[in-house]
Amino acid sequence: MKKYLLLGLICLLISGVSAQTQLPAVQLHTLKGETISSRSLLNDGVPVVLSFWSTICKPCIEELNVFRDQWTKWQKEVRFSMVAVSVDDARSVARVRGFAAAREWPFTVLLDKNQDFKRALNVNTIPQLYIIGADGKIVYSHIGYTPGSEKKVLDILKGL
Amino acid sequence: MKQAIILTCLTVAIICTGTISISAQGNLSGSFETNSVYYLNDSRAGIIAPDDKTGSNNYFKLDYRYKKFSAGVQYEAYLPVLQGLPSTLRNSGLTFKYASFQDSNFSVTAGDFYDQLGNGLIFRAYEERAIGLNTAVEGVRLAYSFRNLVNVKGFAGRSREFMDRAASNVKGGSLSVDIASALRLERSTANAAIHIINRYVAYAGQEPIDPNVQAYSFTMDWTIDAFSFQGEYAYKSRDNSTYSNNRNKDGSALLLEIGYNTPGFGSSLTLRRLEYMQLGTTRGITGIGRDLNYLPALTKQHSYSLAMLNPHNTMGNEETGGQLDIQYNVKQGSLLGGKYGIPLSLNASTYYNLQGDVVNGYSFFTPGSTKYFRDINIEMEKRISASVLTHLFYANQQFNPMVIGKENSLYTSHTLAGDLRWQLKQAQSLRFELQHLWSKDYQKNWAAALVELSASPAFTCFIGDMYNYGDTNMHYYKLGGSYSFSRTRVGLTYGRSREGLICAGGVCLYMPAYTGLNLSLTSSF
Repeated sequence: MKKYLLLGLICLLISGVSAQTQLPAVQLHTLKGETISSRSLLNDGVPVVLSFWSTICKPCIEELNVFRDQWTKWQKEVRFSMVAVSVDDARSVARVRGFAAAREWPFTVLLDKNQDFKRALNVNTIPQLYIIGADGKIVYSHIGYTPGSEKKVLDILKGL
Repeated sequence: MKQAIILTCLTVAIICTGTISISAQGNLSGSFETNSVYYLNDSRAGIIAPDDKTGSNNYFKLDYRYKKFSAGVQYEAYLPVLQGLPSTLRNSGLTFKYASFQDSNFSVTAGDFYDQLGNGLIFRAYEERAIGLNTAVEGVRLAYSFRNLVNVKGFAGRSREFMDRAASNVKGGSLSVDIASALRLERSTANAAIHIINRYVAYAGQEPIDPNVQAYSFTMDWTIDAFSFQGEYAYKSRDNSTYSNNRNKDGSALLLEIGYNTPGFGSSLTLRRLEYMQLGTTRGITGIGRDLNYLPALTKQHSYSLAMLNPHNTMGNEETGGQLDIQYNVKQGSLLGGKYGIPLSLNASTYYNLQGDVVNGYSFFTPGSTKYFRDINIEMEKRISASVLTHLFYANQQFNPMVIGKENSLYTSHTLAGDLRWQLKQAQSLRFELQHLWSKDYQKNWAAALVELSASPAFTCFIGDMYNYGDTNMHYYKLGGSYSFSRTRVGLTYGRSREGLICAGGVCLYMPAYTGLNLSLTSSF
């Protein structure tokens, strides 16, 4: 039976498909408990910076803090929205609201409690950041955060 | 059943393929991940490498989407499985395959799927590769949303158990209502839901064992202005199983969470009580890859290694306790906050057994005399200048080795740690980390240090050592680096790892010590 499955996959590959360029539709939760679709992140009609993070990931928090510190300045240079998707599960999700409130992050924070969105985008390691154009296409992604790498994100946003 | 599901996947895939060639392109995405170790003999640490010297866990995942249809597979190869992970993960195979249709208010999935009911107290199917855990259910799942006010879902199937399927059938479902929208409450959000799960394991013996175990839970969440409340109560019917010490006893759990959050301040208080709430995929033992539900240790997961030497492991049969978490940002420009402000984090958690016993019954929340765990910790961040960022951390912990099956005692420790990151240029930074743990128990004192150089955006290298000078005089050194490019990251590490619990996603696994060369590569497209 496996050979039929492999055959099916090969059929897909040779039929002309594109790599992941669009956001999959997955249900996420707001910090208030509302349920929204990942597709609604594109409703503002501006590029979106999407960052997967968790309360136990220090580089993730450093990256999000840099965006907070530069938020006002960068918004004057280029219009974009930002969504920080927490992949904290039932163990640590209770800390997410307090984390975001205390750090006064000016962007949207969403919860992906069973990592459905993370899996749909094939994110294996966090932090992982995406830039999604106003047309909904993924134009850039990188894994990990090292100080200074946010500059490239800003350059790409300016080029869109 | 299996053949039918694969056929369904194939049918949808082929339908999609046909459609692509006629009208439009679909979207193919996927990922590849390998985590491989070349093991070495290490006479100093008494470590003997396995005969074939290697361990390699590999995952290849493909997802195909075309409009409202999607299908995908995951191939896993253990060549062989990394030491310490379940040895029942062996050889290779297509372990995950699915086809689904998703409309704006309706979805159906045939094949493998992950899901969670409530907070996972009665059911969670998920994947945690770091500890070799995957409890995906193979079967069918349906979900329907009525105007986003009422959501209902149901599923039936068999849980994965390593490279095979558990000898049980699982059926479950939930009904949730958006109360705030239904009542048009403007300042609040409120949701209520009921969840149910049934596990059937055939039994033909003479004991009074019911082949069906039911678990129910009720969840409620409410947010108004700065306040938030969340609660779940769960009940499990009598479950005569190995993990409940063959007591034909029912179980229950309560989880309460209260939060108050305003700009610059965040807090949450979580309380949880568990009584015989372990629920396995069968009546055998539970543990990594054999749990139907999810009972994580509700404690803070620290980033400093010495504070994670002895993490708590949930006692699902009887445990009560809670966690308090406070985050506060001392404003910049204030007397204490200085030019950049000071983020502070205070966290405390403690867990005990439940007062009472299985014969006479347990109290609802009152703790007994056995302390399982306590952790009081504080962390602060201070930016000295635009290029220098520091962290300071202290933790006072008590760990009872009883939670990992050893004797009832308490290991007390004090851990002090800090790090300093110095940005040399726009794209280069150095990080220094120092840690020390004081203890009079078990392996007594430890010290650790680490230096890390990063060149943005792609390259990082580090060298570090954890040294036990209180008992074993053993060094656990590590040297490594990583390179990231777009959605690909490759890392190489050489060193000695200590034996102990590793925890991922709230579940812990006891790992043996090893010395070796570790290659990790992850890539997605």
